[in-house]
Amino acid sequence: MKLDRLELTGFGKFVDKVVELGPGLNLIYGPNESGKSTLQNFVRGMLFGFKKSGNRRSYDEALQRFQPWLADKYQGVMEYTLGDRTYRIERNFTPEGERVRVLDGATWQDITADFPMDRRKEVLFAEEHLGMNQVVFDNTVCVRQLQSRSSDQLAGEIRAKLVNLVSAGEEDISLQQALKVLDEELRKLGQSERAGKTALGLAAAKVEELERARQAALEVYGEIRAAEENCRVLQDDLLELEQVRQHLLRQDAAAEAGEIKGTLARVGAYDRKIAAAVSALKDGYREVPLAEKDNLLLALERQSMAGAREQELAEKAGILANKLEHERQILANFELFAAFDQESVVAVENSFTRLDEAAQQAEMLEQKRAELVNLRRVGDEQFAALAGCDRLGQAGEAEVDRLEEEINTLTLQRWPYESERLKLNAANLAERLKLKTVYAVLSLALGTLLGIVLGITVHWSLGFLSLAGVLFALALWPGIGQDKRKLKDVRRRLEEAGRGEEASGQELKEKKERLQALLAEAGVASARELKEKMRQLALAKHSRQTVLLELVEVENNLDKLRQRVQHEARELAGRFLAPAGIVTPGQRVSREDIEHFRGGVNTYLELKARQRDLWRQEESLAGEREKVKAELETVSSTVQRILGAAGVTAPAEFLAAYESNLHLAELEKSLAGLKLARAEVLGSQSVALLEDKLARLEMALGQEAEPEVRKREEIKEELRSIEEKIQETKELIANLQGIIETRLQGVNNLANIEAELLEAWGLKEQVIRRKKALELAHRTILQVSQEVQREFAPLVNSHIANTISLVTGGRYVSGRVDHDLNLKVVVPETGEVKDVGQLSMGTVDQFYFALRLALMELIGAKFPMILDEPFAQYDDRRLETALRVVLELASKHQALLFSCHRRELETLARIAPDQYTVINL
Amino acid sequence: MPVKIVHAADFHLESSFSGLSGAMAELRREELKRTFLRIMDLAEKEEAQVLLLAGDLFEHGRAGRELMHFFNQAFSKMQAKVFIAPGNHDPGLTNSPYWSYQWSENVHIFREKFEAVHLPDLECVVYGLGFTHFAVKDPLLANFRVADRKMLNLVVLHGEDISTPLAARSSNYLPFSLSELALAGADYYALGHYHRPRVVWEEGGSIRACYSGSPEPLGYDEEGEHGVFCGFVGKEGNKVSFVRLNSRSYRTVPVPCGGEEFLEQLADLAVQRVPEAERRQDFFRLIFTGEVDPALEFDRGKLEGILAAHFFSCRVENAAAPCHDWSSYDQRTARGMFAAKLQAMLAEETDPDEQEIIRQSLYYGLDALNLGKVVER
Repeated sequence: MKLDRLELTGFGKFVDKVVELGPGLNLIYGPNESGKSTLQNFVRGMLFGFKKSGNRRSYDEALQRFQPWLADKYQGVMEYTLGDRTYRIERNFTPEGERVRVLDGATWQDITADFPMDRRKEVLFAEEHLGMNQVVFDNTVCVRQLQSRSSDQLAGEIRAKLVNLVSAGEEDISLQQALKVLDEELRKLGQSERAGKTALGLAAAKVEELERARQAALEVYGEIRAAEENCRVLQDDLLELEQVRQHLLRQDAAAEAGEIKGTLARVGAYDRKIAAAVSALKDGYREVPLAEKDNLLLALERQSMAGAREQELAEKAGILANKLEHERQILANFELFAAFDQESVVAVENSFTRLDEAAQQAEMLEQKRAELVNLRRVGDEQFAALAGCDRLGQAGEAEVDRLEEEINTLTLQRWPYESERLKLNAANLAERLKLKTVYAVLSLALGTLLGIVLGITVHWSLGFLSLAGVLFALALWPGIGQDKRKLKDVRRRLEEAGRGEEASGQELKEKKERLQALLAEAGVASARELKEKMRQLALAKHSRQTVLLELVEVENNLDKLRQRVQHEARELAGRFLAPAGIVTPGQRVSREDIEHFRGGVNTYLELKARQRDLWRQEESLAGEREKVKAELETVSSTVQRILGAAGVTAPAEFLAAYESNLHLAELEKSLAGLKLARAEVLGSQSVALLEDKLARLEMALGQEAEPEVRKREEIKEELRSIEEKIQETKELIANLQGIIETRLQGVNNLANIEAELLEAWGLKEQVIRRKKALELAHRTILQVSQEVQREFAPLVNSHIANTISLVTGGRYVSGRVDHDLNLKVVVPETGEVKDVGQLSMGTVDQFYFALRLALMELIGAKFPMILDEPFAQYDDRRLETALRVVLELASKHQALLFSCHRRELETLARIAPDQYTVINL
Repeated sequence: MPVKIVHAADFHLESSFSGLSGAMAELRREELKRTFLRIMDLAEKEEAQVLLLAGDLFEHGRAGRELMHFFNQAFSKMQAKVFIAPGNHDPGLTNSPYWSYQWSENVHIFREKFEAVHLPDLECVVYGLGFTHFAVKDPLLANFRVADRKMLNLVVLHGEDISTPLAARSSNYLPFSLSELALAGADYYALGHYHRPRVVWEEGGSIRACYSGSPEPLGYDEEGEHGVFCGFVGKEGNKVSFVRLNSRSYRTVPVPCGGEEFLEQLADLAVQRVPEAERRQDFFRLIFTGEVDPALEFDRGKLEGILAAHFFSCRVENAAAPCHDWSSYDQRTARGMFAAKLQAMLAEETDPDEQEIIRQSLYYGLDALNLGKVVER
């Protein structure tokens, strides 16, 4: 590749600056700050742009540094030749309008799209044309001005770049430094989990600590669990003990309440007794004959009994008298029956029976008579309706028959259409007969055939179909016979009709008129009707005769019966019923009258019997009353005597006084005792105090059922024992809870510990992964280093020999890159192999330059070399040697040598005039 | 007849919130209490007949009688019957504040053995069992059976479901399996322990067992909705549904980067990514993805400090890769060889963890080569 032309439209200090470059060596000469660096950066910028690698939004600081000082536009053009083509690159550097165009140099056709674009949106034409990216470009074809100023620093910088070049292929990249960085990171992380304050050590320690905490927590929980279990058991026991205690307290309270109640009840009883005694004692004693007490009591008892008996008897007598009066009044109502007895009743019933039978017979005869009368009436009506026929008589009837026959005959003979009708009838009958005959024959034949075929081919049972055909034919046969007979008759009539057609019309008319007259006389419309009516007339006559005879007989019987009934009735009424006041003479007797008679007689007899009985009772009662009355008088006199002796008027007074005297004596005795006993029961307490205590106890006991009553001493003993046990249990529980509390302190919740542990594991894993990654990076860099040494070093060794000899003017003819990627040379003076870094700064500088050149050759760089003050530290001799090398190389590749020293200009002018192009800035 | 229930658990009142600043932790504790009161309001509004609280209501050691009083004041105003099964964070130890407080009559707290509480008016039996230690290893549900399957049987329990394939085989938190639930014969299991709501057993559209989760999320691993379960449970089937109640959420938001060089730029990206109202309300885990400048030091503390002015609370994580222009690494140079080697290893490796190690190795190596230091990311 050869740069042809550079147009700096606006770049740094340059405005519309054009630089035409020649082939071979171009010496770009200018004092400091003349723009050499600007021009170099312009070339770099035109090729690669100023975006930072990998970041499309970020720019290298060069973009800001080379902003145009004076121009409006920040852009430029570069033209170059590659192979046989020329290219024109136009680039606008401003971020807002950043744009690069690649044009074909010959046609100026925009061929930008022919080149790929990276994600920074940078067109990669330079990478394609140069075969290298910007990093490689910077590290190979562009030998930049060294930054260090002091000689020591410079030496260090060169050595570092040399080492980097040898080991990394890039002068600014130090594998050793990278390895050190990674080592430091690994050291900070820690070699192992035991490495104290390192990240790994701390993470591992945290995990261990949390594991221990978790284990400790589980152990503590185990211990606590046992203590908790014991606690719970003890608490259950405590609960039970407390329940027992409460129960005992209730029992005690109930017992105490019972005692108090008892006490109060006893005291109350005593109080009542004392009050009664005091009250009774107030009345004092009465004088009574104490010995008569029993006699009085006996007499009183007898008196009471007699009085009660007397009273009872009087009541009975009263009831009896009422009954007698009642019976008398009832009996008065039946006096009329006094003359009759049971025989009378029988006679009356028999008589009535006969009478009743006779009356029933008479009734039957009456009914019969009425029927006969009705029949006679009906017969008369019928006869009247048939009067006409009666008048006509039998002769008239015979005449009518005759006339009808004659008319019929004449009619048939006269009317021809009658024969036509008969003909038609005959034809129809003949046709029907024929059809029926055909059906019969066909059904017979077909049925038989079908039956045989199906019976043979399908199933034998189907053979019965032939039978069906036969049956059908037979069914039709009677119809056929009937039709034959009808046909014969019609044909006969037809013959007659044929003959009758000739009869006289007049004769017919006369006969018809005579017939009508006879029928009218009889009151009928037709001969048939006449016949019917004549028949009816005969029946009516016969019937009427029968009815009359029967009617006469019935009336005779009826008369006889009536007479018998009258006689019987008179007897019954006159002898029995009328005297009993039931009927009046001549009045008709009914069944009720007979019943009345019988009831009256029976009732009368009963009443008389009862009356007699009541008289007997009355007499007995009266006797007894007399006795009781005597008794009563005797006893009463005894009572009066005793009461009188006691000076009292009433037995109660006597008894009360008696009792009172007795009672008072006792009362006096017991009153003192009662008071003493009361005092003993109360003891030192008062009733009010006890009542108050009882109320409180009852309130405490509440509505629940009273516990069993036991002795309070037993209860208190048991209470003492229970309370001791309760106290012991509470102390045990408190101890256990104290233990639990102590163990729980300092123990974190297991779930929290586990959550922290999970996090710690995660962190530790993270550290381990970081360690692995750093170790891998370290290993890989080492591998790379070894590969570089294996693959790159021999190449360097082979290439460096030429360039070292060239650059050092033959002083050093070879160099070697050792395993540690250190460049070693043989010192010609001593023959010793030394590390280049140990040589003088100038020599190191030469080796650095040689190595850069070797690298260029190694990568087959297509780009011209860009040498920016590479020989600043060279002495004149070395400078000349180096320039000769550059000229040699420039004969194959374009080279741009930037310098602010006249030395390069003068030396070149001396050693190779016209073999280079000078560009003054 | 169906019974209306509210099922909640894992309140963790009086949690330390050690990951938050003092003021924020206090604020969060207050918010937990407010959420608890909202749950009580919900139960009243829904006329719930039974309130099932499946444990971890508070942190033992940080809660005292004042908190019990706070609970009881709310419970005593309710018509519902309240059943509490203590969990591993609030176990019914002998010195637990549960036992030293006189609770309202409608409150029942279960102990270490299964206990049945009959509710004749509701024709229902509530079974429960509580933690009395911080750990319960025994599978206490294995031998449990309801007494009468004809009754409506409810169970309230704090425990760990070990039915899922990834669950640990052994557990310190009352382990149980799905088959044990089925054998026990209850109609509804109100579970607590896991902080994210989860249905454990659903049959024919009827939820038989579920974790209500914590009503408020308590950490970045508890994203999503939080609340309680509410509805009817009955012999013919259960109709319970999740009701969201959380006032704040934990959210993870990726923040794509494009080669940023400075932390302030990352902060700007994060602020633009999330609307202001949400930033002021929720906890955000901001994961920076994509690529950043290789020289960018991802100082978490500093970045979180910058973001503190814009977010209620946030945590940052770096998942962004340093942007290298791989094409610029010529394989003729050591850097290029190094990058090529590790990229080749990366392409061959299938294990994601190992891939990440290789990737980090590449970045560390290039940091050391390019920058002379390993950048904190």
